[in-house]
Amino acid sequence: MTTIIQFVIDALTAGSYYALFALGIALIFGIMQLVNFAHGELIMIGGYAVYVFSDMPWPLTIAVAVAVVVLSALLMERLAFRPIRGANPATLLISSFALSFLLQNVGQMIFTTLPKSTDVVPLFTRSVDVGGLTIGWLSIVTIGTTALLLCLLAVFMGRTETGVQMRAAAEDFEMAELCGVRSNRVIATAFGLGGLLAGVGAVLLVGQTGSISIGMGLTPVLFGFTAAAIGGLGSLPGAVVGGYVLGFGSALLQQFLPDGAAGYRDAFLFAGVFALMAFRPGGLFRVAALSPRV
Amino acid sequence: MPNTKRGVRLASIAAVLCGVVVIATFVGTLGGPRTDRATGTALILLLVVVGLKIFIGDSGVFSFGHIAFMGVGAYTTAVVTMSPGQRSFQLPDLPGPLATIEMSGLEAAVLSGAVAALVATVVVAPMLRLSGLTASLATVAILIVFQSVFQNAEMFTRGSSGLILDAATPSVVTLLLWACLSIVVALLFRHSRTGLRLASSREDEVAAKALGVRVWAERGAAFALSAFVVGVAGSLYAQYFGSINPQSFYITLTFTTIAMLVVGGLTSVSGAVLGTLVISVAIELLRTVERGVYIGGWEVPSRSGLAEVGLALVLLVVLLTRPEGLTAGAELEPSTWRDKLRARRPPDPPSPAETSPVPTVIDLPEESR
Repeated sequence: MTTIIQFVIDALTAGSYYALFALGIALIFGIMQLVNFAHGELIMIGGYAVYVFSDMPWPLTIAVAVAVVVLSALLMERLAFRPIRGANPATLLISSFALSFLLQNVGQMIFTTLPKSTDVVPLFTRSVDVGGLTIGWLSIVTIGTTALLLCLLAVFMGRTETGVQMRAAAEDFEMAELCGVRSNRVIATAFGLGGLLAGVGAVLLVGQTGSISIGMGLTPVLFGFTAAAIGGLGSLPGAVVGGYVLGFGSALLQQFLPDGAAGYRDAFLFAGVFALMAFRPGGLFRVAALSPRV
Repeated sequence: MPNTKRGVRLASIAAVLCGVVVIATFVGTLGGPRTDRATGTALILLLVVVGLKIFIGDSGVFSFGHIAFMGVGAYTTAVVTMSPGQRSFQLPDLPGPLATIEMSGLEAAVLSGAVAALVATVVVAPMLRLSGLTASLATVAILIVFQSVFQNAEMFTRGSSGLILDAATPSVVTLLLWACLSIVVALLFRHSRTGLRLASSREDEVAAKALGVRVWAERGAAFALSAFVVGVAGSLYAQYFGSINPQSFYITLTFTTIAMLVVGGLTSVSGAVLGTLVISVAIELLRTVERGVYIGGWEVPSRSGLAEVGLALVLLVVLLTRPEGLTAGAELEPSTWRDKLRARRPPDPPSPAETSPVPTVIDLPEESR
């Protein structure tokens, strides 16, 4: 029983990370068809912001780090993606690829390739005993924060005017524009929200690994993409479900792969993702607005 | 008749491109051992970029997975060319005949291409249903899967410590011949039946399907062919540098080669050649600047990303100002140059910034329309 609970907690923790990153990617993709590779560098920026501001009391460090990431996301939209808005998805994808590469190397010029380490919140390294079960505080915080953010985002998208406009823009951008939705504002909001999710994800990630490096955004962003693609690119509930599917998949592999094959976890995981894509090309939640119309 | 005409046209394009490559190689080898190295690297990358062009350029589907096939080619070559002594030391657990085979560089290159094409065919089969962006993301999954396999299949790859080859290093002329051969193959493919059908599906998938193009068959063929070329490039990479490790075949190389293709112009072989040339020269210049700081006496490690930053900036600027790439997707065709000179009309959108070393085609419609 305890192993099952332990397993579920591990899976939910991993799934929460993936869901956070996938959601940030899906938000932006839904509205402007941009697969944002540079989302990983937002996570990197978040990590280094935590490192740079780690002298402050920890709530302030976290707040500043998240704010820095949101600001970077807005800047990224304004400087890099606004000029090429509306280009075909492949061009957008390559631009974000270039931007990601640029930011990584600028980061390398500033911070060198040596990884940095820091403890964000002392609590994150401690754990709590519940009925013979050891649960890390970080897991609890990760699962809880993600759940909270998801609820807030759901309320935002469903109940506020901007949220409704964003969903309209994701459905049919041109139509929404004709109906008076301001594209600049909607897209900037999407980037801001994406930045918020990336910032929170970065803080949690640093809390988990304790180390910050230039390439730290790569793995999360790759998992985020695949989670978003599993769920159906552009679908927000899809991204969340995709994230948790990926989390459970990776926890299952961790649990059941024989020792000799443990290193192949990612190979199996992504082969599974590949198979899933091949069998359900539209993802679990197909977005009608994004399928070609004939 | 049209066949002879087409043959002459293709031959003239091939001659121009191979000429450009030969001249660039000659100039590149004038500067001593360091530029020799850069030239060799550029020729191998040219092979990769031309390989990428065969699939990406003609099908319009971006693949981020091809560098995995380059890795497959490189590891194949490493395993089959190693001398017995090295092999029993580096890879003591190789099964069956693999433990004893010893091939020449040329045989290894062909075998590597074939293995890469075979692997690619198996991998691409389930992917052929996918289109556009989902297919691109699926290729990212391919890249990750292969990276994980290279890291973990210690029996064949010795994991992250990599392999050291002890076979003879191929000469620049060998690399040059392979590069020219790949250019010819890419041109022939583009103008073959399959290539033309594939290009039509790139322009309008629905219309192409309505006209009876099976799209999946064409994409599959292009994928296998391009994997062959990239696999050969992997083999040459392994032979030329003498050592490989899994990290060599991951994101950085993927980025560099795709940047070359995009900067040159996706849809033409000329684009692949010019893009490789321009980016290779840019990288070499930036590396010199990087190194200059070292020679000056201060070791400034913070500059170590400079070449990459420059590369990314070049790519971004090209994407922002000229999203179709330097060649705008057209080939360098001698037969059109005279007409172009004669019919030079006052340029409607004046863009003095665009100066290319060769009169590139600017407003010419894609030749196949």
